[in-house]
Amino acid sequence: MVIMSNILNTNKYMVPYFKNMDLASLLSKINGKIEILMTNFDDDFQKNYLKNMCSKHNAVTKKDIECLKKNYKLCYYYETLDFENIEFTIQGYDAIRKDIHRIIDSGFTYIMLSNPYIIELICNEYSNDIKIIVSSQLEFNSERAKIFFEVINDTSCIESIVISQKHLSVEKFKRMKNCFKGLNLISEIDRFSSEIQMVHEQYYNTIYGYYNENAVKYLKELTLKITEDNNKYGIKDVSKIIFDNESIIKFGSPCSTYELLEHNITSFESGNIENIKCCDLLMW
Amino acid sequence: MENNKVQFCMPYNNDINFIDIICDKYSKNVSSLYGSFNNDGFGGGRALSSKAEFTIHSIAPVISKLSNHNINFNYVINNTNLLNREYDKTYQKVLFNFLQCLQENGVTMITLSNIYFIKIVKRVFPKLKISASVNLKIRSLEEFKFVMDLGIDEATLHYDILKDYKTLVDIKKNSAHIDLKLIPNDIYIMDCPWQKSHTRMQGAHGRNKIVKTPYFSYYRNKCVNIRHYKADEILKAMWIPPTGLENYIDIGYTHFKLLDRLATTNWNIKCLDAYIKQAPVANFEEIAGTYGDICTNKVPAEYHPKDDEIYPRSKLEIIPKIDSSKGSSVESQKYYISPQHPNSCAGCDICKNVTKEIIFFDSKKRLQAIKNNKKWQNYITKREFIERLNGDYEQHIKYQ
Repeated sequence: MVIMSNILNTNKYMVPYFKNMDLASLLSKINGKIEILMTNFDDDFQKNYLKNMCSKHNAVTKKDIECLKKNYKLCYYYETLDFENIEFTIQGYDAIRKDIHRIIDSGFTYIMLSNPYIIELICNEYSNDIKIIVSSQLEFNSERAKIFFEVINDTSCIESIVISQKHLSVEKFKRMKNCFKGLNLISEIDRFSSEIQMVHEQYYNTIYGYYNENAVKYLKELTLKITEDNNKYGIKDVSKIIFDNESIIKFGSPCSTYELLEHNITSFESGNIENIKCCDLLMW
Repeated sequence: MENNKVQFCMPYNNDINFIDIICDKYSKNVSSLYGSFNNDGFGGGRALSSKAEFTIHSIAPVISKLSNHNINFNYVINNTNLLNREYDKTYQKVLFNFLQCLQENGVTMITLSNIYFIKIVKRVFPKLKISASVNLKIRSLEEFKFVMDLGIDEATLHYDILKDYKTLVDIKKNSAHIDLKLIPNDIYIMDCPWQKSHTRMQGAHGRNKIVKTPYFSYYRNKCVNIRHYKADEILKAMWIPPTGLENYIDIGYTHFKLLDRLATTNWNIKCLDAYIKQAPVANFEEIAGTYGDICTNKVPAEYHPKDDEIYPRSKLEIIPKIDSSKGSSVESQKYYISPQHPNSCAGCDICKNVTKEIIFFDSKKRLQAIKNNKKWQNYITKREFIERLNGDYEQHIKYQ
């Protein structure tokens, strides 16, 4: 169930940056509603992960950043959850801090995170320098997520949560809004979401695992099977995605294409939500 | 109360005396033991001490003793994220060789938490029974049916449905030949926001890796610390005290898996006794490994924690007393597993009120622990902490 009036579409959008995107043309179609552009460099600590390898061609350079940050708030994708405890080694810790410094120095406004230790690291050490968007990889879909923040000393730099659509109900959404009044709740409109936890987790584990060709082959096979039998895999239909007029709507993935982003964002803008396509089922 | 219908699956803590005690005194109550080597190529579960020496060479005598008493051994491979190694043919070969070796040494059942592994293991080892790990998070009938279709033989249902009567009854009705288990003695925070990351940290720790990585109680601290702020999180949490077991037996759940693989034989046996007798406990330390030190070898009287420990447990954790014999405790346990209890928290005050009656914190110590935790939380993101964690730096941090 979507709780939004199509007439009063006041949503702001966050979208991935694509090298071939025609931002001027896109903005003219959607009344300039892009609030945040999401991107990353191609040589950070996540560089060997599948998602980063598959979106390498869309990674930015410092020069790109200089140009983009004049018109948009930029969000850095740093949402890998599992670093296999390497983040607790001296080398891993140093590499992550080096990435954070580079992200801040380059002028990013936001960093999207899911690793709880890295969230706490930013909260403790960089709270004045960058704002955190909590990734849907943490699967926060109820007001219970509040306890996560209650045992962090300073949460002032946490600005938004990308809520997980998995098992999200309108009641839960309302309770979350009430509970997280100071934070923006972001809804992903065209991403894979399965009500069967093990399917959901296996899919995202694969995207946020190390790159290998067999993993990509698995994603191709899985998404093909899902396309054939949506129900068996508990896939949440786009018409059941929950958001309201205040939500920031997050579109796409850097592994997908600009053409699909344009299709989905214009479909949303014109109120044809049923035309929105799940980018995960098309991108492998 | 003692009920021979009730069966337990016990953790193997790498102490052969534990096996002897189980075989001699508890063979009627214990159906199986579960465990894994301190390091294998796959990882998962609680982070075992590197001192433990449970290997393929020591498993055969364990299984032999157990099988004389009709007790099975279940080898656990429940890493929640292999970061795509599972799709790699060479890694699969390592898994198959490992399973072949386990089978030759008498293992008949393994616990898995990766649906891709379940699929390929079923194909290559059709005789090996598969237990669906709690880490697969079976929390609905749909999820149970999905994993049943993969061909599993037993399943441990997720903590989050321990107080969801309807789902438990629905799954039980549809379980056919599948043996269902519940874990009663982990004080699992309701809708735990750290579960995903915690299981990954454990999984990566228990797996052989080229890069040596340290482990510390980052997530344990989150979950214990939140209870200092909100004592009612203890009752909201998904666990079953021994006195509450009968409510689950009434709806057909008679098989329980107890933790803790890291605990001593003495502690595990006492915990098993408490659940067999379904007797009230006065101290969380007696049944929950996530409280205190007595479940491991660090007996408080002999244990003098230092301020400069990586995780100064006695400074950071206060153990509350519990009086589960009180009427309100028994009544609340009945309510939690009744059709009247909502399947997700509706924010009533029952847990809060019962907490006031049966959970007792030393308030002065609790406030001090909260202060100490703030200090520790501030420290753990500093490079000095990481250096100490990796063992080449000395830094003293003072707690009161």
